[in-house]
This record gives sequence, structure tokens and C-alpha cells, in this order.
Amino acid sequence: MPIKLADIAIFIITLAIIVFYSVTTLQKDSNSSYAKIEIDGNTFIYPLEKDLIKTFHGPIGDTTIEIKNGKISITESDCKNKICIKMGKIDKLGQAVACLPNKLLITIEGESNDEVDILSY
Amino acid sequence: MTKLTSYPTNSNRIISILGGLCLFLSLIEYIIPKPIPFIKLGIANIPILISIVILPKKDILKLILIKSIGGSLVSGNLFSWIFLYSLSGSLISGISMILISILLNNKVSMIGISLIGSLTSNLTQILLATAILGPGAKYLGVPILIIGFISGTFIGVLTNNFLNKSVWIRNFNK
Amino acid sequence: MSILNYVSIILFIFIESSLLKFLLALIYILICKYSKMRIKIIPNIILLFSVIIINLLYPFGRVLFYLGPLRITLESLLSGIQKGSLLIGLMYLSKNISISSIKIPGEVGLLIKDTFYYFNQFTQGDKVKFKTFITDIDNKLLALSNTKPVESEIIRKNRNNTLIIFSTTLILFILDLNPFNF
Repeated sequence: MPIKLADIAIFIITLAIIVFYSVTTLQKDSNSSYAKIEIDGNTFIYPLEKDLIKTFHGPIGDTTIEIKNGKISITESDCKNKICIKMGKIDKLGQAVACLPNKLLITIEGESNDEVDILSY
Repeated sequence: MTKLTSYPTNSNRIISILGGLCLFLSLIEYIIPKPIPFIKLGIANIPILISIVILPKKDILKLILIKSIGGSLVSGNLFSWIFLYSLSGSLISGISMILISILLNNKVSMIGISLIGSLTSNLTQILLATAILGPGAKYLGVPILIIGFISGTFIGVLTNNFLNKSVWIRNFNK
Repeated sequence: MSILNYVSIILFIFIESSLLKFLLALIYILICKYSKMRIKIIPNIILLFSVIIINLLYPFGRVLFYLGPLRITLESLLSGIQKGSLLIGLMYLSKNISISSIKIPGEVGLLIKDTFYYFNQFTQGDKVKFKTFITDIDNKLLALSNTKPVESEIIRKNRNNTLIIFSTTLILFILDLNPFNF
């Protein structure tokens, strides 16, 4: 079978698809921000795209965080003032929620801070 | 692509001969030393490409099924993910190759069809791998697609040559 | 008897602990090895490591340490070990299940039988050389054109490891449920 025009066309289209796939995959995803939780010298990382409820043990008791619909918040805490719960949900790069009595700090971080950081200032 | 006007009366026999050839070529592929395991040339796909020229559409899908089940019986992987990967990749690439050969009837050679087959089979397996192994598997897609592109072209050229030279195929056309 | 094989597969899939799953996968490999099967270790190690790396690329859970730009997290590491072990374990479990117990019904079953006959025919006769690949294959096809398949059996011996596999799987499955709360 001789090589036909369609072969060359498919060759180029397939190559283009592979290049497109590779570039989009290897490019740092700006949507993939994640929550960084620091407590008691330990660091935890949770992507915001996955729903999660987790309880952490701090110096004065338990603090429960919840990730839902791409936002993270503190839903329960053993602290007295409950300021952390009132701080609400966060999802933007650079935002933070903390439960100071329990020494828990949540910050939103991302792969490409550059552009978004400028916007948030 | 030249289509046969009349199909052989006993096309099940042709399916099992080509199926046997698939298993034989997998064996050869398994024996030849490779720098990195899991990288396959894919010569076992040559009979599938041949079948697109000589078998009716329904029988091509039968051959793909036979190749996947038979291959898993030989390697003993019938109850593992590998069978699932291989079957879904082969079926989807088989359907895509059949569609493209209908669409571009005489205007495409085995190189184009092989490239479509390799791309769709690899994309299916990457999709499955991300579902089973986790989102990080998409990075593995990059080398897989690039290697598949090279081997797909190679297999296409080889099958083109086979269809040109083969006496078996020429007897078939009579 | 063969139902125990399927039970083993299901129990193995549902073991949640990464380390127990890894241990069980290792036991399956050893059973294969003990049954004098040819085992290649390096591909398995590469498979396990690539699955672990795939999972580490997606950080989740407690950060253990930093490796350049990559954050190595505990949950990702464990999930990588779990999934890699599942993949390898199922592969070797499957190898231990005797093929004679599987009957594929209907037309497909018949086609597979014939396929194995022709596969045997292909492996006999002249060797296929790299330089003359196309003509070698073509000659084999021509030689086969006039043969008709005769009854042939799939060449795989019945390996009777069902009981040992089932019992170890069951023990580790119970351990996974953690009845003693350790």
C-alpha cells in the first residue's frame, strides 16, 4: 500500500494531539490550588477539588476542617471563642484561616502563585 | 485501501489463524530483549491491521476479543487489571480504526490507521490508569503517547510492506 | 474448590492496609516461585515504583519531607504502595488460578480453541528472523492455509495452590479488620 495524503494528515493531527496533551499536562495547573494545614509542627496538604472532613488534634483539643465544593473551612473546634469557625470558607490563593488557641493554620497555596498573587493584593 | 469483494466462506478460520498469529507475535515481542520493560513495539497488532483489509467489520471485533482473551490466558492475567486495560484499549482502538477505514475508504494506508489505533488505545489506557491509579497517572501519558506514536508509525509501515509482498494476501484476493 | 479462588480475589481487593496488601502480594509471588513458575522480579519492582511515583505526584495528607519541588506525603505514599501491590498481587493471583477451570462458552470459546491450535502451529517450523520478518510470517501463513485445526488443549498445568492462597488471604484479611485493636 502506498502512503496516501490522508496518512500524512493523520500523522500531523496525531502529533498535534500528542503535543497538545503533553503541553497541557506538563504545564503547571493554575486551578489546582490546595490547602496547607500546619499544626504542631506537622504539615498536611489537601487538594481543594476533593471533598474531605478531617479532625486534627492540637494542644487544647480537636479541630475539624471540611473541604466542600472547592472551599475549606473550620467546622468544629474545641476552642472557646470559635473565631475560627466564624472566619468562614476560603478558596483563594493567599487566604488563610486559623484557630490560634489550637495552633492550627490553614493557608491556600497553588502551583503558580505569580499572577494570582498580584490580583489578590 | 482495496476491499475484498467476497469474503472467505469460513471466516472463523481466518479469525483463528490471525488470532494465533497475534499470540505468536506477542511471544516474539516477549522474547526480544528490551531496554525498559512495559515498552512494547506492538507487533502483535499487525494481524488486527491486516484484518481491517480482509475481514468484515463484525469479525474484526471478534478477532480483537480473541486476541485479548487468548493473550491473557497465556500470561495468566485474566483476573487482573491488565486484562481490563488490554481489552478496553483494544476494543476502542479497533472501533476507531474501523470507523476511520470506512470514512477514508481508499484514501488511507495502514500507517494512518495504525496511528489512529495507537493513539486511541493509549488514550483509553491513560484514562483508565488515572481512574484506577490516581490523577498522577496523566503524567505517564506523555511518554506513552510519544512511544506509541513512533511504534504506531513503524507498525503501519511494516504492515504496508506485508500487504504489498505477501503471497498469502494475494491468494486471498483471488 | 475453584470458588475459593474467586473469594481470595475479592478478599485481596478489599484489604485496606497498604502494608498487609504489599505483604500478601509478596506471598503470592513466593507461591508462584515455589510452584516453579518463571518470575521476573525487576519488572515488578519497576511497576511498583512507577505506581508509587504516580501517586506521589498528587500530594495528599501529611508532608513527610521535601524532595526538591516535590512534597512527599504519607497518604500518597501509602496509596501508591496499596495500588501497586493490588496490581501485582492480582497478576500473580491470576497466574495461580488454573486455566482448566475456566470454560469460555459459545462461539468465542471455539474460536479460542482454534486460535491456540494455530498458535502452536506458528511456534513450530522455521524460526522468524528479523531481516526476513515479512516473508517468514507469510510462509508460515501459507503453510497453515491448508491445515484444519484438530483438538488441542491449552497448555497450562493445573496448579493446586488454592488452599494455601485462600488461607493466607483470609488470615491477612482478618488482620486487616483489626480485631485486636492494635
